Amino acid sequence: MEPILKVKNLTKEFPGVKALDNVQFDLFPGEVHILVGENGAGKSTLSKCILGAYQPESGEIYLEDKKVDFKTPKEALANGIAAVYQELTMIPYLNAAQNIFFNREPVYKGTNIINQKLMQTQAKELLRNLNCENIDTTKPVKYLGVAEQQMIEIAKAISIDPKIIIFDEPTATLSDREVESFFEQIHLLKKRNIGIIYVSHRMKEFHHIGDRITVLRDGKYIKTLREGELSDEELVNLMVGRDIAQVYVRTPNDHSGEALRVENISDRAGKVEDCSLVVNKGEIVGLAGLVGAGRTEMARLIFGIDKLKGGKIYLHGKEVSGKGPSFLVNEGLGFLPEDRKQLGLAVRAPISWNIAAVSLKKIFPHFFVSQSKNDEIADEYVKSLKIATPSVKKMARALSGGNQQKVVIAKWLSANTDVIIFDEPTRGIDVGAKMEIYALMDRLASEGKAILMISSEMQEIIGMSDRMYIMNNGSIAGHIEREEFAAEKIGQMMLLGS
Amino acid sequence: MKKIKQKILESKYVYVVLSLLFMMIISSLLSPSFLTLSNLITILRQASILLMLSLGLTAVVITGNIDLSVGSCAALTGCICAKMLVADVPVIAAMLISISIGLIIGVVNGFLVGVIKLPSFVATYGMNMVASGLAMIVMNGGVIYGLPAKFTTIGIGYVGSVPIPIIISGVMCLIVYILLQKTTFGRNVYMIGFNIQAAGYSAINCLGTLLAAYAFCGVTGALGGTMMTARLNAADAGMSETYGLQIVAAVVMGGTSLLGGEGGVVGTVIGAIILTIIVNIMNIVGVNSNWQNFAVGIVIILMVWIDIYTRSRRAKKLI
Amino acid sequence: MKNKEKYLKVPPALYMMLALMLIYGILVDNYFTAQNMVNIASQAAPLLVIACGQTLIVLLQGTDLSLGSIVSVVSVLWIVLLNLGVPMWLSMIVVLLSSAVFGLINGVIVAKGMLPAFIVTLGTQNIFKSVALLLCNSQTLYFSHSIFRTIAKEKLLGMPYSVWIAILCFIITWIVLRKTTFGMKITGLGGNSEALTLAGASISRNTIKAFVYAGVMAGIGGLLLCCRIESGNPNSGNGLEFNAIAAVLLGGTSMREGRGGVGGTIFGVLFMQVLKSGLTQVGLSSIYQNAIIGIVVLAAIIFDAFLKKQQEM
Repeated sequence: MEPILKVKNLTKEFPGVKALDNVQFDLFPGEVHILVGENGAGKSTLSKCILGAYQPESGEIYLEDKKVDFKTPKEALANGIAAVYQELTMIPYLNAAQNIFFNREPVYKGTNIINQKLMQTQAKELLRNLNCENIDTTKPVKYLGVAEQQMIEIAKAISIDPKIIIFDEPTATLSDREVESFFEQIHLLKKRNIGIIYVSHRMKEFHHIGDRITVLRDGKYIKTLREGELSDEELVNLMVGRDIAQVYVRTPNDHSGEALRVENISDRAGKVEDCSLVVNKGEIVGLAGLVGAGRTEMARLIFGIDKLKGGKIYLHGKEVSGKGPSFLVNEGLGFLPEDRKQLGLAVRAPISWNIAAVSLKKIFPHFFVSQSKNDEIADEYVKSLKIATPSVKKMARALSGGNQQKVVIAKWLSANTDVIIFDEPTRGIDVGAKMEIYALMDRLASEGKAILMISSEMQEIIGMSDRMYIMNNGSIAGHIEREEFAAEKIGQMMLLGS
Repeated sequence: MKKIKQKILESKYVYVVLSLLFMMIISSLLSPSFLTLSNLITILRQASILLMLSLGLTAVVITGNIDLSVGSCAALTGCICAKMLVADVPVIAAMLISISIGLIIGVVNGFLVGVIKLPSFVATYGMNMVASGLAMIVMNGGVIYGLPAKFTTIGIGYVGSVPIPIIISGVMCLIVYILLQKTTFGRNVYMIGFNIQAAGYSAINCLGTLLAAYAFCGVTGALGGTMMTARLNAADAGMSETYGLQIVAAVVMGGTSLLGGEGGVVGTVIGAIILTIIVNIMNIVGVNSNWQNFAVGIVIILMVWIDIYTRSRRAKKLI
Repeated sequence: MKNKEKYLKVPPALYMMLALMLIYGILVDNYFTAQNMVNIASQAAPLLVIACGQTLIVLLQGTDLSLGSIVSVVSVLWIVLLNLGVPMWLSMIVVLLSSAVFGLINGVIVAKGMLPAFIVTLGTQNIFKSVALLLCNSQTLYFSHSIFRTIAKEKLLGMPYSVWIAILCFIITWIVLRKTTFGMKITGLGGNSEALTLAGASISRNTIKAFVYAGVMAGIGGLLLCCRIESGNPNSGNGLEFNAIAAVLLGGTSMREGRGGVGGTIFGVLFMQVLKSGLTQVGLSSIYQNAIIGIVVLAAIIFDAFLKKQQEM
């Protein structure tokens, strides 16, 4: 049998990063080919290149032995390649049927007027095949749950009758029952000889649906193997590329004195309910959980961006409940948000300005600013954190992800914060830079700073944390000491609660 | 040497200065009387009022917002000032009251944008209606003229051979320059413009800074309005109509980006002068005044387009 | 089921309008007469048509500040053409075509230059206005023709033709937004423009179409207004763009997420017109009207935003 899709020597560069470096890939009809790798390994970039959303610098893509060069997803779509993205592509105030058939609506002959009845019937049928007959197809999708939206997204991809479907972490937000019916659907698609590219890092799923697995690391092609050829541990080693013990280095230190105490906090949106945790000086405390479990919401709540509905927060023993960020920063609290480019940095501003953003009033208490003094201070942090840049006057946008993250860390260090919340600190960063960030976090902890780390990467959170809290559906489902860390147990708590 | 050359070429102001030179050459070719000293001083004096009106707006635009109410804020405060002067209120008191009215308008704008979170152009466009409506009420359809000489000096007087409005605007420019470039407040104005969310996550007082920027914009609007009234030695509700669009045009012409975070006073000074030259030369050549608005409209769109176009090219260069 | 109520809700503009009517009813004798209601409706007709166009632009997260100027230029152009002896039917076609061109200019600059709509249309507002002033040399132009009276005054089923024309435009816009493929794209543009790209629909082409639509609606609004005042006035459209924006926002259309539609706009329009007409009836001189309308509208928008915040809590 001939492969339906062949990718040869694909290379794609972004500023400062080689996102894909000479990558190979192929896909047979009726096969589920799983793409694995850590965050930033190049899985999403590869699938976006295949889809025409990115144009690779070099390399070739063959669809059924014809060389293709899609400039837009539309061209890929017209050639039978559909995708279900990680981020939803739903239009909030259109209903399920309108979203599924967007830009392909059935119309009355000779007009642009949509045949609503036909569209509804077809949408209902598609959803019934996915065992989702109870989704209301007439309601704007905004008022549906995330899981329901995800199923509509899948229905949308199937509705074009594609040759290839790319799934990018499709089950992250689905419940067990939904995952089951989703897998059934995947088996049906396989029977129809559709090729499936499945981007995921949930190993449990591989056994259910996978045929072959391709491992990427740092944008490089590592290996393609049959499902079951390697044990889970061997697979992880392939993904990480080195012994885990080398990546996550922790220096033993003592944890004396309480830095942050959170008691029974809840937020107004109902995303966080009755959560408590403690972080001591010199400790790295992990906060694990699935996407949407309420971890980021909890961080925002502690940092005073969202308003508390109830509960108390203490910083160094002093009650700070209900205070805003500027007060908390003065008390020594810092926060590295998950979305580095949108929330962490002003990417168009110079590096020196970013580093001084929080500490400006501390550095210049007399209202007047001296740019040269600002640059000097920024230079110090560039040296001590090894930020790779020719000058602190450059825009933060010009830096690679890892160096940008270091700028954000420098921002908080310059303000003398000693309790720092890291929200997904290594997302979208290559492994080399990740190790530097880990080393930095370890250094900060041994200097006596308290760190609360939110992470979705099991290896990372197990490797770095002294203790760990696990969140499920808005509340703390469990608390585990380092000696008792076990991926199985943590994963169960993340999925099912305590 | 090479480095300096490159630095000059990369600077945004190059294009602004070049377009100023270009305008001056064109103008002197079109009209021999353009390059006379008296005409140049006239231009500077006309520009000084436009400049005053655009100064505060520069700060607001740097925060990534806009204020479309400056023109009518100037008209309203000018009218109130004139009304008080003919009622024998002392000059200083009348001016102070006018300026505080400008301040209030600015704060309300800031409130609508920062607290109610209306898009700034909607909120200030509404405020524009309100302020010009209030100006009409104040004037009751009439015109006031014959103001005390002590007051009109700030519009038509001289210190030596330099007109007073040029001095006032010059001093104000310096103040705004220092405020924006050399203080923590100015830094925060820029940081908000670069990325207001990141500024919030950096514990910068976004709302306070935004309110201050708008309030400041109201104050310069009021100062410009009183200067205009003094210059005309008269006030009527529609007196700032011709300025309405020019204020925004002066700011964007000076290279201050509507996306926020970039630009500054220097550009606005040159932008105001360029615009005044355009209007001046059209007057000298005798073009129908309706064409002036036409031209300013095109200038605005063109300048914003150039800004966005060069920005996307620079961004591409990075990739 | 709580959610369902949320999006089927009548916009607060309706309640505010009823409250206003009550106040006017107390202040003005014979306020609640059929004659007065018909009057308000016929005065609201041009605004309704313009606001229909504005709804599309607000839905795609923009605003068209040039619509008022298009109204002015259209009304002047129409009278100029008629004075030149152009036949009525031809003059109407030319006028509507030119308003489409004005919309096209806006749309092309916004979409192709990727510029903020408000600054582009602020520029074109002045350009179109200058064109209007140049066309008529800053004078009000007159022309008399029976069709003006027919459209503005003669009634069908108790309402002037102009009202029926406006309602027709409203229904067409409603169908366009809710029932056509183009309408889906407009909702998409405001809600998640990336979804358009991924589905292979052109962002710029649909943006341009929306601006052309808004231009034509402003053209029709201009013709209706012209019929009512029986002259071509270069200032006749002043401020209409703001009234239209206010009507759209008060009608519950949001500048974020592509929420809302023309169904709410009609309430916003009625609110604006009740407010405006009432001020004259109360006997307030026109000098006071702009400021009061501006203040009430801003207050209403603040109130509306406040209500929404309460609902989200």
